[in-house]
Amino acid sequence: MASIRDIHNVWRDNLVPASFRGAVFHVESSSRASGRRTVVHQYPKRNQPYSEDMGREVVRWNFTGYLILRDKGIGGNLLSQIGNLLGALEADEAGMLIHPTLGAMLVMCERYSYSDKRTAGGYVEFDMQFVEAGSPAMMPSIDIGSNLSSSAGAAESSAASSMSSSMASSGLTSSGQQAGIL
Amino acid sequence: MSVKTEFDEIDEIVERTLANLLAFTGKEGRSGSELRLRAGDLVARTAYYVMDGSFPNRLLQCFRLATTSGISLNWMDRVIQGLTEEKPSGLAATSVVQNSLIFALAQEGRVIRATQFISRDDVDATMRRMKKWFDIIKDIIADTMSGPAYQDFINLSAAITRYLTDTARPLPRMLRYELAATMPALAVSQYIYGEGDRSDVLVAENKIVHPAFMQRTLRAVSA
Repeated sequence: MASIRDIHNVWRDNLVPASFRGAVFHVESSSRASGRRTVVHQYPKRNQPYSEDMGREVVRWNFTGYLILRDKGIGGNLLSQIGNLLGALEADEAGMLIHPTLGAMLVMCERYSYSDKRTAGGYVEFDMQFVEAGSPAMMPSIDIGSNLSSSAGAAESSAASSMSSSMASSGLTSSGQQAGIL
Repeated sequence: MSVKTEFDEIDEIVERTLANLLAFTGKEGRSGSELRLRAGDLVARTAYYVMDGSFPNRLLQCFRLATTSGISLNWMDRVIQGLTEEKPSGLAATSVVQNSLIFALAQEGRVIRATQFISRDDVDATMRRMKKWFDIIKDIIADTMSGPAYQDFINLSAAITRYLTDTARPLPRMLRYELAATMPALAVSQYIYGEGDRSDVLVAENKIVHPAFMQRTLRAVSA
């Protein structure tokens, strides 16, 4: 009898067993969340806001996975499989997560929950939340004193040019015109 | 508003602002005399400098000279207070007041940078003082309807806040000590810090009349 695995397509052919630190589990559902970090500036008495881009938001993964009794695809018995997965989720540092379709990524397990039910004996469910491990940032040390001085200088220059513009637009700097009035 | 009235208004604002700027006590030194010379010149020839376009930079120069001649935050606060109380009606006069506030705030930033803070409490007090001005000046600058000016003001206030925050972090806190008995300043210094040479600081901080008799309730830095 033909199984569904006999029907080939790119998605199914690339499907791999999901695992974290080598502990394999089945995936009921998974989701990924990220985006851009933004700071929205809203100015008094202006209709136009400004959304400042502060970089990419960290990638978070949510998995609902399960293990089931007498699973031929995963080695060992159900209890050893549960033990392996719990050990992997609680181990120190980041670990390699294999997503069934999207492949490998280095993540840390932020939290997980294990649940089983009387009405579903031999079936245990894991809700797992992973966060992208990334790499330690090279924090540049800012010379805050120089930063303050340069900000002060920039504000002064901007204020001086703003004052010049206002005087010019008021017609005060066109000397030929004002000479007679004074 | 006629051009002449606007010149008069600017004249009056400049005269009052520079009078506040010149009123501070640290007028000694070359930069102090330079400040008096330039401020006097600007007050006398405001209209001429407005017309030739050099007024903004000359006014800025006066503010900078006040900083280099040692103006304190307290005195610059008076200048800012004076500017916030101005009620200009002309466009150019309004711009003079608004941008003079930025000049003054920039000088406060420079003065803060040159200040040696002793305790975190000093920094916190300065932070509270600056926060008050930021709130007032923010509304005034917003009225200029100038995006870059507002952005520069925000950058400056952020730089001052960041500087104060980073400066406060390694500083010791000011603590209140309750002593069991009246002791000499040297003994108190030894008792708190394990060394006697900080007794003068304790005497100054607590305004002690005679260093042999320190009051039992003291203020002193934690380390």
